[in-house]
Amino acid sequence: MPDGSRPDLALLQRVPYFAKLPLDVLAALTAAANDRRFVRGQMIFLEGEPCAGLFIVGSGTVKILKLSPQGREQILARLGPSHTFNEVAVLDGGPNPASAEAMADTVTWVISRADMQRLAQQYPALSWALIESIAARARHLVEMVEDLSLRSVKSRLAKLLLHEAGRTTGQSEIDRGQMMTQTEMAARLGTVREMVGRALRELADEGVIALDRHRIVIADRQGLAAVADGF
Amino acid sequence: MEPKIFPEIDAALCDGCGKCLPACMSGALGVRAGKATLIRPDLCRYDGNCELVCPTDAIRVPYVIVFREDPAWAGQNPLIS
Repeated sequence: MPDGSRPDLALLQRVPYFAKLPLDVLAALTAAANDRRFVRGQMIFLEGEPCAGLFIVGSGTVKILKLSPQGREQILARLGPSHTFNEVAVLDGGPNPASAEAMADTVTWVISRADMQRLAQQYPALSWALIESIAARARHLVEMVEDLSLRSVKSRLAKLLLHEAGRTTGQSEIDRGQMMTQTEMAARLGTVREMVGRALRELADEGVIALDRHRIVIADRQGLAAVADGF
Repeated sequence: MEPKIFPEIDAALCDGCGKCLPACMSGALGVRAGKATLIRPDLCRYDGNCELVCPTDAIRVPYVIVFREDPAWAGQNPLIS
């Protein structure tokens, strides 16, 4: 339920494609945003439902996913603070193209489609920022299609491990929301958990990673990158 | 000091079927009050078999992925908060 509080300007400035917007545009976006709070595991919105608006992650982590009729999950993205989601539905007026779930206790800021349309018409810079956002999303999806159709599970896993280690680099403390289970890795890679387990054991046997209880330690970054590029 | 990390069991999802018990090779799991419970955390080897066999996705065995040479923690493992 909205409580009338607003996101601070600094949060919006950290959204990659809002960063260059003038302050008056950011202020207008701030005024149109309402907070929605979710506990870990709570669904934020479901694929196919009417457009839920443009969401900005204030704190926590959000999983964007698609579910097969058999309940198998494909994770399209994991988003942390200052990332946005659901632009596609906001721009084309169609239903939510995927579902969103809170992976940790999460605060989001939501701007309705109607408000986004009004603001985009009022501020051309915002229109261009939305185009850049969609272009970046399309690029990410093209890469994902390449990965799923051309790379082996082991190669995709190697790429994922390098990406995730890059996210934790420099942090002396890590939030549990940044941790991944093998099931979540499988969903992200478009495979099943058993394949992830097998690939992890192979990488450990090759010496490029070490498995130490809850830690997957990349011992040979170049070696792992070679696996990632190996297709 | 870093707290030891253990598998997470969601009691709301767990139906007490007990399939995780034989899957746990170290005997760390039991069923208490109809729910799977880590009864001997000292025995847990974090091999993830419990998550693999759970039919309701009640068990999560999460991992942190790090570079060994990350200067932020200089070879020591990062704290999980």
